[in-house]
Amino acid sequence: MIKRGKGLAISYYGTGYGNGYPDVSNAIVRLNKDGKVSIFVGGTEVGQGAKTVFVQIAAETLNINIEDIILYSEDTINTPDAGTAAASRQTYNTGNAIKLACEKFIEELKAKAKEILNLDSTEGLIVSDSNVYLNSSKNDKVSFLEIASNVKNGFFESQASFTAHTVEMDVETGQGEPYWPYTFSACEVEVEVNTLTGIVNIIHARFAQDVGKAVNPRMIEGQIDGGFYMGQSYCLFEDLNIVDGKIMNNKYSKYLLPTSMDTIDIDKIIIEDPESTAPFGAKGIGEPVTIPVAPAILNAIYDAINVRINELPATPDKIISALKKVKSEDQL
Amino acid sequence: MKVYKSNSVEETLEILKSAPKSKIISGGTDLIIELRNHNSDVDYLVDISSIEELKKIEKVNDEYIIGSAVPFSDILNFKFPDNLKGFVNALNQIGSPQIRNRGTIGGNLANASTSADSAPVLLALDAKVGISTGDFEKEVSMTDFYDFIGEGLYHGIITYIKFKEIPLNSYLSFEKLGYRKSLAISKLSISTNITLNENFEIEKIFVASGAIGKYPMREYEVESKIISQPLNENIIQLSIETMKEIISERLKGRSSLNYKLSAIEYVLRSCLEESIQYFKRC
Repeated sequence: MIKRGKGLAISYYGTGYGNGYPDVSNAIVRLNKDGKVSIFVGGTEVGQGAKTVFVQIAAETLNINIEDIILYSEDTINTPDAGTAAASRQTYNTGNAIKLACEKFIEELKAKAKEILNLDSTEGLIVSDSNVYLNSSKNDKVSFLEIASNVKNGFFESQASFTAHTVEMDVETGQGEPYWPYTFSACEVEVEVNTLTGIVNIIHARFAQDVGKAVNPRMIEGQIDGGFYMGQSYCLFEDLNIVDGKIMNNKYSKYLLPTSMDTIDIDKIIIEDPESTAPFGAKGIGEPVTIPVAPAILNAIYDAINVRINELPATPDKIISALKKVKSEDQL
Repeated sequence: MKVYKSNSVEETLEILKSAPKSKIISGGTDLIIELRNHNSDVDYLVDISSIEELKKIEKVNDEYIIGSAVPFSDILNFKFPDNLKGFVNALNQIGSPQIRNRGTIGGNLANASTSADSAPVLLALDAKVGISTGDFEKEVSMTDFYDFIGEGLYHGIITYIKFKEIPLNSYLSFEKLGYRKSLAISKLSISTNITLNENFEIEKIFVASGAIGKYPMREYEVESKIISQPLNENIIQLSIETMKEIISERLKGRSSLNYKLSAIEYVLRSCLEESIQYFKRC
């Protein structure tokens, strides 16, 4: 009645729009009158943690505290376009744009510091903790606040743009680099299938995700959890039930999503293998964490009951009718 | 639409009589959704959630008496003996904690849903339902309840639900099949209330089902086949076969037939095996 099975699925996924489509993110970094730094970027936070990652990348590049950074995003008057929060591209694309803008900004800061400190070159200047100082003589320093009070209007800014490099595939040969970079995922689940009710119970799950570099490990774990539940949900629950073009399950009492009772703790493995073209090696994982979940569950169901389910969602009634079909074919 | 907050059963009945397009509301977990879907033609809502006499739960001698406006959470806070585990299980599986905090046992019966989770256990406990209208007060057995109220209870109010405690050689069980572990509408449910004699034979049996007919109902055919028989694997098989025949007849032509024919085996077996486990412990 209760059958157990294990399933595994692996996937790789290209970040960004791909196929040579213009994939551009822009960012502006500004020194404020109070010595704090503003980042202007049109990258949208949809719960994935983009805002946190943007600030972390800026803080790391500028070598300052995150408290000294003010992020402006999702404001079309003030922020430059950073493309859509889609295609798992914000960490990679917009992260790169922010890093490039911050690097330009550092050069600007050094040039201002050179003037204020009466130096003949920016050689040997270091930016750290909201100060610019000479490495050989740490007393020769000027704070961001002092630089701000020395510039016209009290602020200055640097801007940068990043374009992901992809090319359209050759339709004849299939050659080309349609996406860059790729991320790799693996998912393993163990299920119990009730052969009388068709109910699938996930009893164990493990997910390994290549992230390039984990900018924020806790948020990556959160994304793995969320991605897994979405995969589980479309694999086992979400059913629009379209009849003659009409959505019959048009309310949440009929269109089922897993509740917290239907979810389990996932054993999460973060794989770090820095990507050379990415900001600090970091790649986006928004979509990759969902992709192998349904195939892994379906493989586990197959392992448990020796029946392939080829239509999603694999709801209990579909599993029972698939089992009955196999049974009646066996009897022929 | 107007809402009256009623303070007594008498006041409620007066309002119901004077305002034809009126409905009773307590927890509102079903009615509010119905109103939002514009499925109800209602001018007046009569709120009974503050009527104290409908909110009492007590045990008088060997009987549990539960006011119709008692939310499920309050019932679950009441201590029931181990052999009424099926009753507690059924109520625990209703909706979510939020719904159990608002939804009431009277409401679960009054809207006459075939999937009502409390109905099969109340049928298997041979519970009685107190009904008041402006014209009469009546105590209706659960087995007659759905025929009595027909499509709905108009101009009347359920005031209480009561059932007797069951002896130690009796056990009430309940099993529900939903498509997820919480907030699930019942696809199929069964409750059994079995009394065994000292020879391990079935002295008394109640079998009730949910979601395999217009209303939750007693399954007399199964009861009559297994009464006086020893409670063993053969009897489990016989019960399942009988239920399958009943379902084949009752759900003929329905798309859910094949699924329920399979699932009933699990649901009914679970109830009976849980009962056997209880009797073995005793």
